[in-house]
Amino acid sequence: MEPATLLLISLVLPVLGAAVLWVVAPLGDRAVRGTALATTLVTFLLVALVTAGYLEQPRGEEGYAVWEQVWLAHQPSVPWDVRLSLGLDGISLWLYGLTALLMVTAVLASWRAIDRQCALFYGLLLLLETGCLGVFCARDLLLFYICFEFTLIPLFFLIGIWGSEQRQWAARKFFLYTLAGSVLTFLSLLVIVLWGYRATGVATFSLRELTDVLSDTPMPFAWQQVVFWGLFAGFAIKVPLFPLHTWLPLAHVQAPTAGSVFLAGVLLKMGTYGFLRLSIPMLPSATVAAAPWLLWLAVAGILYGALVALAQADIKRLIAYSSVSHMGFCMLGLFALTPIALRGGTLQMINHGISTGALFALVGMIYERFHTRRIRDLGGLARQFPWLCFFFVLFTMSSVGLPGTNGFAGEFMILIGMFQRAWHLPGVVLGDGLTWVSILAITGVVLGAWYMLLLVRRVFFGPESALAREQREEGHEVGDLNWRERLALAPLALCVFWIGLWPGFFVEPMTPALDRVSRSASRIWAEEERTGEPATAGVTLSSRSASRGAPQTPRR
Amino acid sequence: MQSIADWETIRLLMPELVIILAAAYLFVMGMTVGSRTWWASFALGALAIAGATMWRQQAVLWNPLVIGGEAWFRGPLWIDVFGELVRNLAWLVGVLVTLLAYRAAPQRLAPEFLGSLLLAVAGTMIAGRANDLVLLFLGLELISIPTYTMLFLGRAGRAAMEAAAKYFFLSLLASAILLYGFSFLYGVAGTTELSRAAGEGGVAAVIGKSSSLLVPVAVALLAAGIGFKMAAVPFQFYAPDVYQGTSHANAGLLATLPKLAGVIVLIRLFGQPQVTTTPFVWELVALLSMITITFGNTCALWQRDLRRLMAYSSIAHAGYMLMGVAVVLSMGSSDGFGGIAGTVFYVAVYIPATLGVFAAWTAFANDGEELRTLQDLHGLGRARPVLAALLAVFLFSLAGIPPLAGFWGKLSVLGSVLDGGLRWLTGREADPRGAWLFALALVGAVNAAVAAAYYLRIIAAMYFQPAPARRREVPLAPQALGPMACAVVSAWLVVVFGLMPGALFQTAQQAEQMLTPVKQPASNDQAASERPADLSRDLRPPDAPLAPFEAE
Repeated sequence: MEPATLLLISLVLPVLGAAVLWVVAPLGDRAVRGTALATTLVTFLLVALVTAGYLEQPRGEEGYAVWEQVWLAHQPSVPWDVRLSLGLDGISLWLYGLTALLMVTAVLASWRAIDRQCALFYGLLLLLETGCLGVFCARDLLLFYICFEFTLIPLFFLIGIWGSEQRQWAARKFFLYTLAGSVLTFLSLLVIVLWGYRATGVATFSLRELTDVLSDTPMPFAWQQVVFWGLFAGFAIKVPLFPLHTWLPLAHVQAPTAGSVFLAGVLLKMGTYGFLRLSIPMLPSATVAAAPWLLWLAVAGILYGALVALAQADIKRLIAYSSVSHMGFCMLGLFALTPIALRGGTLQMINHGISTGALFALVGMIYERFHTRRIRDLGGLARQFPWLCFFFVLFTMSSVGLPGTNGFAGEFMILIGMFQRAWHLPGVVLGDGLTWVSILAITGVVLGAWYMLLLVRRVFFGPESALAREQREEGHEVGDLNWRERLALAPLALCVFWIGLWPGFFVEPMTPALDRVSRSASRIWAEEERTGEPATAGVTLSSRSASRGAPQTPRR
Repeated sequence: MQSIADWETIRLLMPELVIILAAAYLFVMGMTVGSRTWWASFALGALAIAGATMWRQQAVLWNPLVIGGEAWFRGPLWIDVFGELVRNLAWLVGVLVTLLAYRAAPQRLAPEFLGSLLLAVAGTMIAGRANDLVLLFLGLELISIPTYTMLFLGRAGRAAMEAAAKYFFLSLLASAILLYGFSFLYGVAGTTELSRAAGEGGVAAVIGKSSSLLVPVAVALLAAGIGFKMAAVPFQFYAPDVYQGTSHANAGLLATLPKLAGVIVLIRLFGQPQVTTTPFVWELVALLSMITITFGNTCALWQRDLRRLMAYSSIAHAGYMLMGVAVVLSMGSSDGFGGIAGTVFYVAVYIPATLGVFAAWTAFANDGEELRTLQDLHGLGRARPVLAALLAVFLFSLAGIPPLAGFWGKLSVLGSVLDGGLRWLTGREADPRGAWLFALALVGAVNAAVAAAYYLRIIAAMYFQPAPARRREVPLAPQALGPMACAVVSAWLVVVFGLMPGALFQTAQQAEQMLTPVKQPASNDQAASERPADLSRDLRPPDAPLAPFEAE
């Protein structure tokens, strides 16, 4: 079959699966779970086929498996040109796969935890999967935004109905916080499109065409800044970048296991993906001007997340704050803007999805056994639960970046890139401070190891806690991980080593796309370095080309 | 001037006449025996016939209108895409409210209720096509007067009486103010015609071109009249009380038809973008729009009464409808992302979503007890999964969450505002109007997030709260079938417009372009000869003059 068809089917299949769930719901929960699992497995299989096809292709910059259908046609009376346009490139390839993979884990991990309104739960989960897949394969700006926003609806219900004690507040806070940011993003997207309209006469939403148009006729610097910070509002909240992270601990902690896995594993990546897809290639001057500040924010997030994680008494909260810290590394990688840092940042997006997703699944498994998430109540679990301990330690190692695991590959590349930036091309604005940013980021790695290893020691080693002993002596059925749970985690564990031992396999396909993304921004930064003028020098760039192809009033 | 009573004008008004005749039949025969279901079926049947007649006309008119790209005028009628779209919307409101409300009035009063509803629908359809201040006002009154009756019918109790009386007096006052404004326009223009040929002459052009001091006075009076109809600040204060005091069905009607009427007057009088010479007009509209949206949403946040909440929500939506008009008034010319198109599109997607909300609430309350507050919704997500899902769809659409229809409404309105802003700011010299428009877009966008907060509260009450222990679980009663059908149809529309907005987009754009025609050197004769032949064959008797323009 055509790769484009496979891609389309993999996108639509979860929705169809959700419809089937509605039909089989009267047959009981087993049928519902089976159907959901089958759907996610088939989806993953299709995605794997598409990915394999991509890897066999010669590496080009062009999108792969492109499927396109006109949605709102450009006509004399309708200037909008919106297409249902799907396709993958080096940046979205692995994120697309990660989404499909984590959904299998999420379905398996909530097998026993969800015992009411099962059909609705899995239906929403599958809708969420389609939304997330849509974000990563959209080649149309509007389709991207629609999927970006749509994911809020299923997640709102997932948190609000199946969450823990404060679920209602968490669901609403999550929804409104992210929506408040993304409406500003929406305005910025519209300005980008209308700018394209001024330049070409067609209000296209095609990402590729817009990227081209904005590099041919860049916006003036002031405009770029306005649009950049508008986009920033939505994406930075999603990531979340340091001062905007406050929705995250609540939502992650209150969500059901599958929700946390997906939220941490996939939803947060939409923010960084948005920066990578829109802000950096389309608004290079503003990116360069904002980068030093964003690097500071990223490193603040790394340290703040790590320090707060150290102080947590609840496992889930601890891992939620570790997310803040790790996503800070991703942002550091993206906005250091050196080739190797960008690769590391993108790889780290995958890594964080795998390791944190798995850790949240593991926390869910612990909670199912002991009905507590308090670190104090647990202890010495290693003796009784060797598999649980094995997986937890494994993903902890991945999370702290032990060499040989995926975390090391990502963080190492990010730090290398950051050091290059700080020592060789620091730029003019805040240039001296970048050295400090790099050094502080390293501190973040150390802190990360500290809080994660402390967690492992307290929960799995040391004396057995009163609660665990009590449960054992009362003869409660608390076995080690069963086959289902081990199967849920095994593919992620495989990925940990696969990426860790052979990062080139993953990094190499994304190279052309990443170079394309950062081309303009790197050039502007290099120019700034050369001329010693601050990044507003972008103005001269744009005004030079403005004389050539100034925005014209399009003809009707 | 063409005599009103000529045969072609009558034929063009056939759907309205069918509806009015059916209403008259309902009033006269209402005293005979008949079940509510029978009367509702009769009303639906009449609407179906009217609809069939209307679509047959439109099938003939559509191509010449769209391809010819120009409106034409017949007696007091202004026939263009906007008018036809409004008729369809009014018809839709008629069908949906009939389904929603056929059991709202007691048995005895059902025919009167439905008759009044039909009259109001016919009034909207007439107003949508009126090219004459007198006919326009007639249409508006044909909406208002039956509405007073409907508010009174079968609603005992202090709150209901207060609501009806409040609406009655204030609406009368608003009509009088509007009429006063019309009289000034007439005084300046010397004619009651809105527009002679597209974009020429008439009352609408006077607002833009005349430097008479009376024009600003007229504009202020008109703003008050229109503001009342649309429930825009500062004429919104009646809405919460009236909605709260009346029934779900009446509230649904009040939230749609008068708003549509307000949009009609607004667009017919101010929709022609040469309206720039009168000072303060666009600033006024833009400012009112910002205040309306913010006020409506902020107040809605604190409501616990469902209908009060929806009243404030409808106020906020009125602000979005004003936005598009503000852009056009500030621009002086239309450029594709028209504000009028945005407003029209916004109304079109607002109507099914709003009526759907009230229909779902009516259907929930089949146990004889009306839903009043948020608490009454607790646990309905599990007790009535289908209805709850439909209600969630409507609310998400009103909040503007993609991929539902409301999202495209926000997109088209905000897109037009930003386009205007971008054009002012990237022009030869940056104009502060651009900054104003950007502020307008910002207010609209931020408010979309605020609005989501209270829509989410409703959804959260349904899905996240356990059902109160004392509620009896009863199966869906047969009397809930009407509201249920209304909800299903509305949801279908909301989803279809969400997934395939193309046709509606295009129609809205055409409506705008026809209101703001490109000046053509061609004379009327030439334009008439270009008109396709099938139009003359179908709509004109053989002895009638050849082209509609020539009658003048």
